[in-house]
Amino acid sequence: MTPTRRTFLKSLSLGSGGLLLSPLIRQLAAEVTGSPEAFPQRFVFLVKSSGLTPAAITPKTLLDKKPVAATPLVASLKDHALPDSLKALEPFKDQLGIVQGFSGKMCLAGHTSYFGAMGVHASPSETSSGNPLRATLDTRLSSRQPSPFGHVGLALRGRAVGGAGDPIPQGTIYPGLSALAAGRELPFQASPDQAYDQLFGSALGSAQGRRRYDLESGMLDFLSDDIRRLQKEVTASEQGKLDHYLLAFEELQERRKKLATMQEVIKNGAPELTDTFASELGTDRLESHFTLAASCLITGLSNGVTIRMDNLEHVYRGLGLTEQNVHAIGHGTGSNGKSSEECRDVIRSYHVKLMVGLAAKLRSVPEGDGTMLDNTMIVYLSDAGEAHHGALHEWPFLVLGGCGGRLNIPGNYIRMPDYGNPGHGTIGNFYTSILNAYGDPIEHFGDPDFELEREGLPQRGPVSSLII
Amino acid sequence: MNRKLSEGRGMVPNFPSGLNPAILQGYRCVINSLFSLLAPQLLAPVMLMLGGIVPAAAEDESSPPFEHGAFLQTFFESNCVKCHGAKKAKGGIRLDQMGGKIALGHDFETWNAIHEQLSSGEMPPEDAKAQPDAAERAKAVAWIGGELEKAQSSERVQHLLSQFAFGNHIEHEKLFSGEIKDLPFSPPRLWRINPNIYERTKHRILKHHWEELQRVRQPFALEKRPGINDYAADLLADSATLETLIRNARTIVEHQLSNDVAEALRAVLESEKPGTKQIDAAVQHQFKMLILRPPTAAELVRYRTYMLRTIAEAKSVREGMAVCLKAIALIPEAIYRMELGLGPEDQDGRRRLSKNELAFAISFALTDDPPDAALWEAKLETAESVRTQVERILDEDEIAKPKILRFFQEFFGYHRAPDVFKDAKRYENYDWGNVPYQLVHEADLLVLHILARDQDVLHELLTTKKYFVGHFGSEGDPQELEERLAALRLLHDYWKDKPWRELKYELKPEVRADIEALHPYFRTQPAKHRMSGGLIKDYMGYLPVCFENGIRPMLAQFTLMEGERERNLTSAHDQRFFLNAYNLKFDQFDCPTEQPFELNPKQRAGLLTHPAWLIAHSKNTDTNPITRGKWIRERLLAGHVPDVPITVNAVVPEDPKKTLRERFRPTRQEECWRCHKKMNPLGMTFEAYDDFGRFRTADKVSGRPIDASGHLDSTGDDRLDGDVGSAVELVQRLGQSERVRQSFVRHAFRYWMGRNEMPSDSVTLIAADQAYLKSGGSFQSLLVSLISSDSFIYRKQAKP
Repeated sequence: MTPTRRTFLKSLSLGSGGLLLSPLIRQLAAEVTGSPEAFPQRFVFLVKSSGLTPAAITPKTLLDKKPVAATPLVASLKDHALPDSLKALEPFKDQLGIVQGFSGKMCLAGHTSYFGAMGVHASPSETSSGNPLRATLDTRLSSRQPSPFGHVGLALRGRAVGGAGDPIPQGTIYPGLSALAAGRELPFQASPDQAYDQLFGSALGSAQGRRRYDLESGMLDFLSDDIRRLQKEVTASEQGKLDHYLLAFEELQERRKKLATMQEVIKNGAPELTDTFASELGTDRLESHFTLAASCLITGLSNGVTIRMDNLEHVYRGLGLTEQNVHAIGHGTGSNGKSSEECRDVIRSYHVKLMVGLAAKLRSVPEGDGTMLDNTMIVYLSDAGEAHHGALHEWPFLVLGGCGGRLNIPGNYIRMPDYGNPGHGTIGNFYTSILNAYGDPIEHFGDPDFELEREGLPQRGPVSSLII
Repeated sequence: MNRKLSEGRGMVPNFPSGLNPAILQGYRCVINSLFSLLAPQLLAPVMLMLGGIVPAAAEDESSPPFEHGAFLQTFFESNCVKCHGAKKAKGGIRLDQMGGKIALGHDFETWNAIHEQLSSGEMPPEDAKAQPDAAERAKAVAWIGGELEKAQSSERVQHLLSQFAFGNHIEHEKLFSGEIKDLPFSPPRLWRINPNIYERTKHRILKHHWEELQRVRQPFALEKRPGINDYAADLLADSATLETLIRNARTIVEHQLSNDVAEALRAVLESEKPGTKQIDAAVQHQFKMLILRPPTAAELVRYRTYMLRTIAEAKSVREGMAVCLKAIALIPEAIYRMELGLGPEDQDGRRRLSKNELAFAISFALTDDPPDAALWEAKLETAESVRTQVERILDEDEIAKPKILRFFQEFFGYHRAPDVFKDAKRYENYDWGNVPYQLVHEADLLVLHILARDQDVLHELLTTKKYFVGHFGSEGDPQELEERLAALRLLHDYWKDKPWRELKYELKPEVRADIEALHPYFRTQPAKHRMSGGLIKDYMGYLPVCFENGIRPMLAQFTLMEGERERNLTSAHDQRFFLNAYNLKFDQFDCPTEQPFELNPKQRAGLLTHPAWLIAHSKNTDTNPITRGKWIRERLLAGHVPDVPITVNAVVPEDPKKTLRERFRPTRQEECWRCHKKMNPLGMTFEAYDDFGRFRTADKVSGRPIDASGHLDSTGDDRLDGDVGSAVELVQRLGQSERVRQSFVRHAFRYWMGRNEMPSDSVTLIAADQAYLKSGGSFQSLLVSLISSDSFIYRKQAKP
């Protein structure tokens, strides 16, 4: 690369027009400057059910450590061995964060908080997710990182509380976890094979998937003609409504065109379609979802993925826990000769293994001076806070990835002062910190906790020590 | 604009570029001065309403153009700068520094505020030493108004006027004066399908297939804003709608081709090379299922050709047919109802809705279903034949007419109670979740009861002393209730000496058998109401208290739909807690068999003192006298309260030693009181209820006594205007007001026409009001009058 071009690209990336650059130029610019700012940031949210026990993800050597006064406890993980169920994360310790002590009592406590877990508000009851009040953290983060598919939702299971013995769902489902905006739930794809067709079908996929894709493209054109025809028949004042509908078709076609230009990238980055994608076994399906998520991020089809890991009805047959479902295990019943706690460890170890697999794939893709994982944040959390029946006094998180160098989380164990004490924060504060770190200037994300408000504890804004 | 739309926020008009984003965010304030931009024929009445000043200069085209810097600067210096200059700058406004580039959007929001204050006569304040003379004021108003108009496009103004929030900007007296003789009409329009209609269509196709029902999502959800939501003008289909529709279409068509396959579709599926006849039948079937009418001849040809083409392209009959069936689910008419006026034109240039258009319009005015056979067959050529059909549908009990109850929910707004987030700890330390749903349900029962009697409907709704509490409603079967009571008594006797507290959720088979042997009731319940350990514990926490105290327990047991989920209110545990909102105690409440019953006439009268209404119009932790006062001013008194000026940071000062009324004292300051006097004296009367709707005589936090006095004005009736001692007294006066009745008629008009009234709707409004009055307050009569009116039946382009 000549110095002239280098200088040119540098000036471009630093100028005010930087945000408007096409992804390609942005990529080149990033390579020149070595600045992670120019790389797209990726977000993966892995949401399990039945709570994430704080002690189970705390290094033994840190179990008794508490924050002093109003300051969060921060300890470098390199000095501490990870607990057994997190062992697979040892090679990633430099980019792992264990975050504890943020409360979420503004959400509905119990078996699940539905949209509250990532949207910080109460849902009406355990059997009803209600309406999301705002875009949830996951989609809000990725909305600033445009991609052809926007935020992708993949799910092994639907709503946390389902009917007893429900089979694993197929097709599009709505688990009540993520929202694109107030009142607009993010659809999740429960069938990995269908997800494969939808994501990669424009370039490859099953013969049937490709044919359907082409037929639907034709259908969009056919309908656009229908709308134009009708436009001639209505008064000028009503044509605007049809214009909008037409525009919606054109936007979809535009996405299809964009995908058409990405054919090579998709072909090279798409996973191999195997039998596990259509398997009836939960673990096969979940692994397929992770395979899809990795390819999705690497090809740039999406910069944000949320995976619904399970729900309370799920039976982990693939892990040898055939006797009890997640709900029973959460309520203290053992399964297949293991105690309830041992079963929870087995499930958690498995989730961690999947998370590590994804991280390893991202780490294998070079980006600038580092890897794609440097510009990724993978968050593992539960939709029910700290326990199977979370009281939401705290909401533990595992955070994996470099987070674009924006957060003081990778490599650290962080524990906030306990609920009700000075310096304590809510998940609203935590999410605000993340959003602010990624350039979203929101003052505060989510609803307040009235109890804390009565105590006069400040509740708004980010935790500045988390942001670099 | 597109981004805004995709967020589902409705159409937000474009603003001149370079404006402060605060304007975009809070455009409500900017719009306050809407009257400056009204179409000429609307300008005069609005000006009159707001202070009796008609801007002569605006109408006098021969006036020389006003030059900023000379007249206006002098005008400000003589009349305004003393308070709004370098020394005082009241409200943060300095008029000595204003530039004159209004048309370019400079200081846009401030100029709007100035214009509003000047034209309404609110500024200079009444107690100012001197007032500008009328001509000077009019000249200033006209010039600023003219410049503001340049900064806008007239389309935008038209859009604003079409919003529900601006419905009251038309002078009330004039609408009902009888002077306007114009022939009424509605503009031709496309009206986005109502979510409830889509919901019904979906259930009609998917029937009991639960998984598919879950998967087909609502593409047309309304925002649930306060007031009437389903307006033809501001509902659009955007890319989010389309994506949902496509996803739904895939599910629906996959279902149609896999389960309970209709004969018309099966014939195509089973044929290797389907012929025209078979294809036509499939197209006709899909139109009937999704567009709710047969295809026209042209449509049939177009879709036949398309299906043949897609079958060839797909090299599969099933795949090809599926694409065409999906396409029909996405045609514009699946999104928008067409009300273009395809019937004959009269001598006034108004076009009648065609027979088909009218049949749909009538059916969707009352139900969520397409026209029934009788309506399809009716000629509908005269207002009389329309009236006959509307009366028939209203009379036939077996036709569900959910649109009527929904009007009352939207008009009163009590159904929004569950949307107000409440801190459970302050409410009996109990999970608040189910309580507001039950309260809304009981408010619904009351409305339905009053509608069934259909006499003095509005007066009854505002002043009735009777309420439903823990009851089935008028439809409940007394025999069934007695059966349940007998069964529960046996359940109680069975468990009273047994360790019921130790029951697990799942009952052991032998225990279940025991219970089912107690009484047939336990064998006949649907699965969702069947006894479980949890339910028994709930009942045993309640029934012994009732039987020991000799009171009749509450027996209501019902399922509410919340969106697409069912909410079962079956447990005594839930039921006993909601009583608190009525100031009742579960261990003392002897649930009357005959309901509605007189609750406490000194404390409560009508819907506005129903806990559901009070909660819906409260804040998270406080009551909300401002919203309540504004509600009465706008919904019942046909008035208008401007939004908070952009320069005012409206925060109620915290002080645990004072009541809310005392904390509101700052609003008595002159510049605040100008607007607050329209709200506070009305809203403060509801301070006799806390934010959970519970009657109180003292404030819990400050311990100070509650002052619930207030003042009513602008009813146009001297006998009603004046001080009131309580909310009960206030609603009784409102119930007698002609203006309140007419304001109610205006809102019914808006709901059923899907738009704000225009001056030319005067004849329709007066006729509806008279129909209601002459029938002794029959809501059905009002409805028949509205739906058979020219405003409903005729279409004509409104003049801008």
